[in-house]
Amino acid sequence: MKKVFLKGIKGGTGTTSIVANLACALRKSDEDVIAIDLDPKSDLGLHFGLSWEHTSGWSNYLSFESALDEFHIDDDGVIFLPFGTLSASTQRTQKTIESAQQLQVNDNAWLLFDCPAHQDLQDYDLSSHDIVLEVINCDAICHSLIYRRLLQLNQSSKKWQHYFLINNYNSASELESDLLQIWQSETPLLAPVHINKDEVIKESTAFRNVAVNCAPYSVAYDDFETLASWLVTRAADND
Amino acid sequence: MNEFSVKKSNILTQYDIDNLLSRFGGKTSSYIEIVDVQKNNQIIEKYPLLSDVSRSCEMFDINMNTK
Repeated sequence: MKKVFLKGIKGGTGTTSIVANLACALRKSDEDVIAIDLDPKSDLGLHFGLSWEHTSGWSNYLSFESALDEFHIDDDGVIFLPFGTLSASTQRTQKTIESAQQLQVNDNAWLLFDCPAHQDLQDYDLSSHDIVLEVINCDAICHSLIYRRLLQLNQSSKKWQHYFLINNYNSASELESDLLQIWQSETPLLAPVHINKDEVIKESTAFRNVAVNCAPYSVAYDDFETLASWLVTRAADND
Repeated sequence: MNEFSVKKSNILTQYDIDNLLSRFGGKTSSYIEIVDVQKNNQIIEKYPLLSDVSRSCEMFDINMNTK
């Protein structure tokens, strides 16, 4: 299985939207995708059309095995598991990550994890094949946080494949284009693709769907398709 | 009658690419990055927070160690 962990470098970067859209973009390339919500906000399901009244998820069960009924499948064939309403310890979350890898699915399936921004990835037992996409926005605080993270990664003994992924990029903003210029030429570990600001992403959520389905000719659709292709290439390099 | 100016483009041959790589790419690199360092410095100097981060990171040599 190919594991991708997506987390915001801070709150509100749009990570959950990326998980949902990326999952659908991969599905459209006939990849098997399982998306697991590790964030207590538990709103990943809403992007896949899960009813608002449905609040339970894996955290409401004593074990992962007993939570199998909480797996859902959306119209595109993305399998997803909501977080639920209870809190979960780091150990419990780690156990969920390990158990998800034991699922009886295609060996080439993608496991996408929507991680909370506050969670330290050092707490998870990640391997060198695991890909971490840390979602950033083009602002000065993210710039500061990127370099703090680089210092932390430099000193860490754990080696996963870490990338910074720009979301919600507004090319009309002088500050954002300045930051993009700096990051693209000087910042290590920047993913070579970025997601442009597009109203379609917010609108599609209001329609209980993803941009990939609602606006197939949008900038957002292109961006998520490019992101999915890049990840397929990265994963192929791992094999 | 209008006279349209045509911008001529040059396509690099494999010989040109090999020459550029041997001059700027080093022995193991298979690509060359062109960075406008002066422009980047101007951008960094424009924003106090970016200047602050840049000065601190020079001490840790982040670019050299992680890229």
